Amino acid sequence: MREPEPDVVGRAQRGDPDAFEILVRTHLADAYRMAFHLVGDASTAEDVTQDAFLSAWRALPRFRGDAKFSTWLHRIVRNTAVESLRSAARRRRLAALHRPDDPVPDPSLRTAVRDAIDTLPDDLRETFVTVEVLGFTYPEAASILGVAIGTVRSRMHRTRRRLMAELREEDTGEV
Amino acid sequence: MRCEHAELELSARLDGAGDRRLDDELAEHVSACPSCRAFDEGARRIRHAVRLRTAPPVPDLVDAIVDRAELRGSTRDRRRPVAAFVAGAAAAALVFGGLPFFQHRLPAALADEIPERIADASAEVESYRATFDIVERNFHERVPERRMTATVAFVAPERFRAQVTDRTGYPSGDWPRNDLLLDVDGATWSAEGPQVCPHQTMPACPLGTERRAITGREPFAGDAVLPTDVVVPIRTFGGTDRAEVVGSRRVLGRATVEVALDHRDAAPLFAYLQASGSWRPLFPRDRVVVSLDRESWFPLAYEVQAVPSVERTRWAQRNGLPADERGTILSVRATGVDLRTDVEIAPAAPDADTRDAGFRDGALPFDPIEPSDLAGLRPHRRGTSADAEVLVSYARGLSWLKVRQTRSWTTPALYGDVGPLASAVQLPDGGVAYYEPATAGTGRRLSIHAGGRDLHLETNLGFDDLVRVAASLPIDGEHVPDAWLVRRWTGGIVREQVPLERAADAAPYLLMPSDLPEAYALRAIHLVTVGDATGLTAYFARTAREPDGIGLRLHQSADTSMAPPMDPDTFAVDVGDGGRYSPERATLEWSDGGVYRSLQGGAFDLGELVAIARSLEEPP
Repeated sequence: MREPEPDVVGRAQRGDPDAFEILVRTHLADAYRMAFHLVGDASTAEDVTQDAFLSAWRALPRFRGDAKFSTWLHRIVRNTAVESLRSAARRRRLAALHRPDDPVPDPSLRTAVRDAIDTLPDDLRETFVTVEVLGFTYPEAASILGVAIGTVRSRMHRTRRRLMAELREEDTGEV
Repeated sequence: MRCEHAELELSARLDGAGDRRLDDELAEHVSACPSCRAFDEGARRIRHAVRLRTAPPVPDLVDAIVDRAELRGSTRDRRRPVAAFVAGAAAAALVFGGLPFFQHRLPAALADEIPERIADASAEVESYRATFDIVERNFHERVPERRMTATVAFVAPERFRAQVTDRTGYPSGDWPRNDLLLDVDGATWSAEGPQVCPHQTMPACPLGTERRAITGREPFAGDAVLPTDVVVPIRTFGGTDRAEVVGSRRVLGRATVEVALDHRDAAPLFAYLQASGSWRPLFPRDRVVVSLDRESWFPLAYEVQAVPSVERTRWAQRNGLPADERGTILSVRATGVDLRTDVEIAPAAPDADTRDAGFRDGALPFDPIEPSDLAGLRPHRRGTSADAEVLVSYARGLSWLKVRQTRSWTTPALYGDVGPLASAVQLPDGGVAYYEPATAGTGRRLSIHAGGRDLHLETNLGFDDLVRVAASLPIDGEHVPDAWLVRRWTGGIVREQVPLERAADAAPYLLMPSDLPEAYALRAIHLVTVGDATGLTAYFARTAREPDGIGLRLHQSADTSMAPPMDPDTFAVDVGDGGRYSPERATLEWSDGGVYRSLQGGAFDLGELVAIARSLEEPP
């Protein structure tokens, strides 16, 4: 995970919009990827990404630098995504409806491995995305997800077992 | 150790979080446990598939976020026109090293704007000198890290020197030091360094050092390379559409934009180092992150990062490298850059090992045809090649163009260094020219056949500029005679450049990909007839550049059974009947319904080839 120069974070904390823009450009792709995998559709992921950056902008003055900036930011992305899923669930319960249809995904993007990731329970999926897709270390992932390092370790193992079983019957070419 | 514990540890190791104290215990268990080995292999395959298949396209939300944060104010001018920026960049480049001119409010460069900005800035570089620190990892198991410094000097258009000094502390004095010198001065070229020694023989290097030198070098000769991408990476970024802006940072106290691309696309950036000497190999899909100065577009730092994959592991094993390489394996960082006008480069003295390439500056046997529109370039060297062709060249800064011509072309094929894959291009003046994209060793090329004259243009300018210059030549290019497109050999006939409809009529089994990688398009179809049997080869390429000159090759033929595999590393793949993949030949082949099909592309990995194979369908 690429870290911004400390002076960029410092300038953004002091309200420098250019510095904040650099932070957005640097971390947009990874933040969006995390949101996308957690919420499962592109338009919600866009909302979550935007909301997370706005929360980060507001919270920046309180960022103390005792974690890496990327870890801190992704914790916000994760929490925003979880909150978004909770609100969606609340809305569904209230409307007594089934889960609303997602926008039709681009079929070229639907792959066996992504389908398999989507079917993981939330705790395994968010751990797997944080480590495998975004490349955070176990201690960083533990900090983002608010769990112990040992939990990240065992979740990664369980997820891999599960994906292997899931994909054994599938035809992905290599898996 | 029990299986579950071993798997847990294997899983953690894959993520770089293993417990090294368990090395021996784990190795012992895994060597005797097929189930744990299968787990490890499966986990690696999932990693490969995840990296290949799961990345969603990322929307550009920067403006939306900045807007919502109510950050836009009257002091921020985020929409400065590109042209104004480029003009600023070019002017800045001229004084780089002299004046503190860093501007804070430049718009962040986007990947698709970078080639244009680099091309414009490169035309302004007249002189350059820089020093770099180089760190290379895993050269050899006994030399895990080598450290070198490089000094590079350039005076436009064709004087260049790169000197590498090896500062590694080797285990003993037997190891060959990678001290290199590359010298280019117009018509002369020389490179010196240790020969590449077989890995197994190290540290002994019985081959010693080698020096290659050329005189009579023609302007911007492809085989006597002028590796100026180290100055401004015009070739690297002029031809890639696979670069991604990944961040920004400061190098040498200057603001840079960081751009990531595959090593297969970034190779020209390393050409000044690899013209001679002994280097560790780099995998084509390794990631190169380049920090480009935001005003001059000089690459101030670049690093190659290993990207683990199944193919890479096999490749690493074949090359005697650690199978699980991770992180940065080669890094280059500028320690000083300046643009002075007094850079001196002493020409290399010819010696006994010198080869004469036969080009002579000066007298011309006939008056050449010249373009009236030079796309901003200025006349440079002109002369006669060993084959009595006339060659005129034009240059400005790092940009160049050369026009080769003859009045006595009798071969029934396009003139110059273009092959049967060249595609016909309609010029704005109504004429026709035949175009080939840039490769690792040549620029973009156009061949023109016109009554009594044949011309060949080559350049590192963009495609549009090349076409503009070609259209300003006082001749009208013609379509080549049909006879030039038919080649007969003892086994049969090859018809080149067959239209898709005719190809489909001749070979009803023809399938074409409905899902090509971005920027790839059909370039040519060749039809082979051997007795009653037919075969078709379709070529797909990008317009700007194909490092291997081919791109993607799809071959299909009826009544051809699959030959035994030639490459021992070939493995089975679930595509069609008997699908298999050869990493060495970068070829996926299979049969279906009695038709043999193969896909070959050195720039693609297996996952990409499989995706293309699965998208084959009858042409519309």
